[in-house]
Amino acid sequence: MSLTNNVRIDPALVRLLHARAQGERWRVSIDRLAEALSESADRALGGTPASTEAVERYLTGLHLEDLALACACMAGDEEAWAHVVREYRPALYRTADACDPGGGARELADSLYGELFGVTEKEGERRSLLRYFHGRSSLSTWLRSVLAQRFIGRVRASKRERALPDEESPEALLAPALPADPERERHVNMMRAALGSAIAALDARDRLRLGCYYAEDLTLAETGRILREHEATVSRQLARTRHAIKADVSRRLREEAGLTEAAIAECFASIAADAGPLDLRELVGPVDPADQKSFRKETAPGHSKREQRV
Amino acid sequence: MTEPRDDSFDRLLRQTLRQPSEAGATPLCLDAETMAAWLDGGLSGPAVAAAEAHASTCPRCRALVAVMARSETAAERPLEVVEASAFEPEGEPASHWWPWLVPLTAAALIALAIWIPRRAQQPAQESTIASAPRVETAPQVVPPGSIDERQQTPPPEQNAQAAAAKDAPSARPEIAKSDQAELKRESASAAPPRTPSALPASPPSPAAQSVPPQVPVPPSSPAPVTAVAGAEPVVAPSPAPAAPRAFLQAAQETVIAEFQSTAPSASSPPVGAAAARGGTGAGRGAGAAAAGGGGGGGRGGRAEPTFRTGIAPPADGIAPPNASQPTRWRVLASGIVERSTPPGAPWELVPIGPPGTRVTNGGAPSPLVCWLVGRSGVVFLTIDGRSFARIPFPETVDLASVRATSAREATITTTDGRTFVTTDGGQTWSPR
Repeated sequence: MSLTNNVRIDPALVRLLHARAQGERWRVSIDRLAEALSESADRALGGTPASTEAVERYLTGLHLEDLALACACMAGDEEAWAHVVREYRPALYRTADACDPGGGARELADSLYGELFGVTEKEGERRSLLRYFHGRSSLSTWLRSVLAQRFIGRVRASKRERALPDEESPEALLAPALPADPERERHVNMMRAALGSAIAALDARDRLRLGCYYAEDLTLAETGRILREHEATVSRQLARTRHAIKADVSRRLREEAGLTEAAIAECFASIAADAGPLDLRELVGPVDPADQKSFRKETAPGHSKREQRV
Repeated sequence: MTEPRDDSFDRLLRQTLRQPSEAGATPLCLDAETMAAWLDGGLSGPAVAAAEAHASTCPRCRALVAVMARSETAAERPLEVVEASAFEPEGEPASHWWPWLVPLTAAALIALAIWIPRRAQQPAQESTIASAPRVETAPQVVPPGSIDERQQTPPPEQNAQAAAAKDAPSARPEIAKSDQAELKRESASAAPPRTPSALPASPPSPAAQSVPPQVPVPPSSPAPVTAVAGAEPVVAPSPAPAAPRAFLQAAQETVIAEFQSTAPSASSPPVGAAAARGGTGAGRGAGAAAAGGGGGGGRGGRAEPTFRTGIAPPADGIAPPNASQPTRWRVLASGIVERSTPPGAPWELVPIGPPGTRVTNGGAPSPLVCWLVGRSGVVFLTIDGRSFARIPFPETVDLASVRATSAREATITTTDGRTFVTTDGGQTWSPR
């Protein structure tokens, strides 16, 4: 009987899962797989008391074959490792290229393999990154996730370390010389404040959908994959959310700022005339390597105008 | 609302939602395992809600989600799966096939009814003709009725597709990726082997594929390769006779690195000191099998993984590459290095060193210059596109990738993540 903090696994179930995971293929023993299953269940269910049925449901939903493969790789099984290299490296490289079409992320993918194999040792024992894989996703998705995390970390670190732009560079010229119009500036500021409050008041799912589409420039289909929605649903929900935001902004301007309908209309008109700093950044091209928008427009053939419109 | 107002409102939304945040990861941020489980549907309902709630307010995790979403299509593109919808023009529903289904089926049945009686009267070797690939110009010699013949013989619909593809070569570049994969599979299943005598009589085990033998295939007998996603089907002439078993073995070999010279060089490449050094490096034997993972993609441009079947000429018959044309290189799982000049031409074997040399990756900054790296500190350089010289490397660590800008300047990454740079053609290396 495998026992963890809260989770107990029936040995018969372990044997069944071992057969389902094809543990013999990678020479993973039942005990080793039971240990991995316990760790996985403990991580997912350990915080709460779980019934036997819940544990069984959780364990049978795992990507068992991938978990057994990871166990074998951690144990240093050369055949398993060769399988991982052969089967997953192309996908990892494609992920790297999707992250950075310039090829910069491939270094991350290469270095990832060193960690996966366990080049680092602790107390004489090889420490593989695969120990963090618990089978809740496919190994392929997990590898992509690790690589994406490294990529995001690197991009954000490079952002923090970037030097200030030269005075003559386009980045240093973000503020356009607009004619002085204090009334319009006040309107824009009020609009932004109201908009920020309206977005903060949204449901998390609506806010995430909005952020994926507007801030991360994902397509409707990509956004839908994250939220498990059809892209038509994403489109409808975005339209609904925008409508709700506009209504909320109008309400806030009316009730909190005390503006009249005419003044509210002026506020909306003022943002139509305000190019804003981000527009200039878009005009001068990507100044940020993390700006995925530009390369996606160039490289993604499916990123059509039709898809962009909501 | 008028359209201009909608556009400006969208812009304002973007500005508001893209507020820069350089905050680092917090304990609440999603780890890689949770993120992967979320996207694969491995989280419970409350866990999904928690993940969504966090990602909706955390720019870092939202960016992570975005990268995952973008990479999903690229990373999980099936290698050899044909999607019927891929044949459809954009915007048209796949269901417009159905009206054609009945007449097409009837035509196929009629053709079958005519073909089967005629086939029964044909001599046995007709099956060999049927199995001949569409790209072939040379006849194949296949023992009738052998297992290999059955494996090689494409089904009638594949022959029809092959004929259609042959009739319309100009349309090939526009073929969708998945279609290309299908054509590739078709080509691979029909292509002949190049080395009937040098290959074992039975397919290798998976381990044998990824951990190449210590005694490599002789340079004059490279193996055809198969199976990398996103490949363009390339048809290569094949003067060699068929050898089905050899093909089955070789068809499972994988291209582990492919790269192309980025810019044609009109002038002579810079001559590195490496040119004077002979390739004296003895094969140090393969390192740990795990080092096989260290291979990387080429840095000389975004590698478009392709696999091609083709016949390599004898090693001593290599023609010098054209310096004005880009050159494509690839490294096979067995360590064999091949070159294609111009890209699309048949692959030619390039001898790189003594037997046992294991190359895993490379980079070509120009058509005549190519750096190769491999296990146990193996580094090779050519400045004429033909002959490689062994370059000393300070450590015997397994090397994962090389990014070169010229014959003098290269950056090599080891499998344990370290980077070494040379600016003098490999005379000196400095860690970075």
